[in-house]
Amino acid sequence: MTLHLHNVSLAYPDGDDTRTILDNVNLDIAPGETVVVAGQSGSGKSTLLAIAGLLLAPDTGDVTIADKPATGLSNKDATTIRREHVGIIYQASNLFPALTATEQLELVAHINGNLDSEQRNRARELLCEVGLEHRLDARPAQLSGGERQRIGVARALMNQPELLLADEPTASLDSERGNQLMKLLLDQADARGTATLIVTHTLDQLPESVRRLCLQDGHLHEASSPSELASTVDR
Amino acid sequence: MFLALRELLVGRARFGLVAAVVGLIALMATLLSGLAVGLVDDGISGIRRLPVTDIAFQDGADAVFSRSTLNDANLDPWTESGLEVSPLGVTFLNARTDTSGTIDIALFGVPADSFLAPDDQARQALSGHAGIVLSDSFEAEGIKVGDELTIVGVDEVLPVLGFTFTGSYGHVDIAFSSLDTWQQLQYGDNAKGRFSAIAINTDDTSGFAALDEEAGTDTMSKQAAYEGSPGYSGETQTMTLIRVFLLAISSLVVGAFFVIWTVQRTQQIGLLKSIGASNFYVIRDAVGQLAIILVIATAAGALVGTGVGQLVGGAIPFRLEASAVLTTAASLIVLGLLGSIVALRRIVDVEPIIALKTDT
Repeated sequence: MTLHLHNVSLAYPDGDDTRTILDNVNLDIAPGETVVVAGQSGSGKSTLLAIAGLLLAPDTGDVTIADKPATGLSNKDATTIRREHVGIIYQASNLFPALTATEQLELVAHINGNLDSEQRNRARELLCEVGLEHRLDARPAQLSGGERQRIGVARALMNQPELLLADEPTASLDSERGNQLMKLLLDQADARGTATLIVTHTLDQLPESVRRLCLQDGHLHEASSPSELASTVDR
Repeated sequence: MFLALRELLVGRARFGLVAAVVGLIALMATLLSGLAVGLVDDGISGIRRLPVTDIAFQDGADAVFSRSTLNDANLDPWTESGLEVSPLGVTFLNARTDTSGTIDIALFGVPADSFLAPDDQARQALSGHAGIVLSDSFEAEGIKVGDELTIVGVDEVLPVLGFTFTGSYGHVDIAFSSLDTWQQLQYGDNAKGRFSAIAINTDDTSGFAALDEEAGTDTMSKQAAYEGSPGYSGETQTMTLIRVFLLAISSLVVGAFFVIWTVQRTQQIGLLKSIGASNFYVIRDAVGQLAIILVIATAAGALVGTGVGQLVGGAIPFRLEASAVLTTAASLIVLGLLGSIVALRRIVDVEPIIALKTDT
């Protein structure tokens, strides 16, 4: 399994009480598999994604990424796993204002310590694949929201991750562009055989091959139908 | 410094402002450095340029020539020691010139055949009729060889015999006379062989304690004797205090900028960490960026300061030494980086999860 969550639980302090966000959640995502998690606002979708991306440690439970145990790691070791095995697409585009589209991707290679001509070419190829061949030298302020999100997708793929995490990637886009981006994301993940976890509100046009899960009251369960999945989402 | 360099290029206006502040501080520090060295030089250059390693004062004179009076009885043990020694008289005088009005003179009385005589020409001049050899700086005031100086108070008239190196003592330009002439001006006909101190030129100081004991003198290195120059301690302490405060202010300004800049880019730091950047990577990027600003701004400020110093050098006591400029610049850079340490803790504490919650 590329991602394995076993009995993961997390609670936040809530005044004098504690609020359980995730309660013994189990989740396995195999290579090439795409999982979409839906749930109401505050249901813990992003928390689940943060734990999967080692951005947050669970109170209890085990996390395994690319067959590497990732429970109780130091920040340094968690960062290393994230750098080598995980790509993250954010709700907001989260691009660096000073960098061009190409440099946004080259930065990933630079952080990995392998920025060379091959990686520079790969950055351009990825941007071409997401339809931005004419915007290679544009900075975020010169780009539309959809273009920025597509750079975010390409950036997440730059380190050839085994696990791709997307946190409501279409939330800042209109319906048409949201659907376009979702299709792009799924196509890219499918083409690369990447295990993909998506937290999203865009439930239209999800292909049959996508596994649908609902997060309610801290529990994760399979959606019996697309309508059940849709009913868990604030529209 | 992939990100740092590009941010510097794109954010030229923002970084230019803080660079301008650092540059102006470097400019001021460089000017202060030149002024400090110049003032010190103005106080002691006449002594510094004498071919002397140590000076023996009257015991208890605290390196102040005007408090020190020695005579042949004090000199004899030193002469018998075989060291290169010479009596030296130092006093301040006013003189009227034919053309330039009244001038102040720090008069060094040295035996004409002494190693203290500044050069052969002066030695020859001092061995003849009574007269005076002036610092080059007086020549710029229109005084010429052959002019007559009337010493105020004693009304002795001395011809100008020549000029020698530019030097000053206690912010007064120096002049040389023979020791006999000096004694005549200082004590009239009642000199009794008195002079101010004994100049010594040797690398061997091992016998100094015994000689001091025997001669009733207090010997110290030439550098230590600078302390006795009028105003020397106060000037150096004041200038040092100003420079220390300036460096401290610079460190605080740079530190404050770095803290604010770090707070502004907290989300960006979180994003960097979330895509795999280690704390070391982020800190190297941030500190490297600051170092570039500091080095460029400090170098520019020091260069401008050096240029300004060249322009004003003739009008005020100002002298730039490469070592002093480099030390000041290095201090600004190092202290600026030290000032940024406060922000490093904040960088380390930024959690990568904030990248999920915000936009850069």
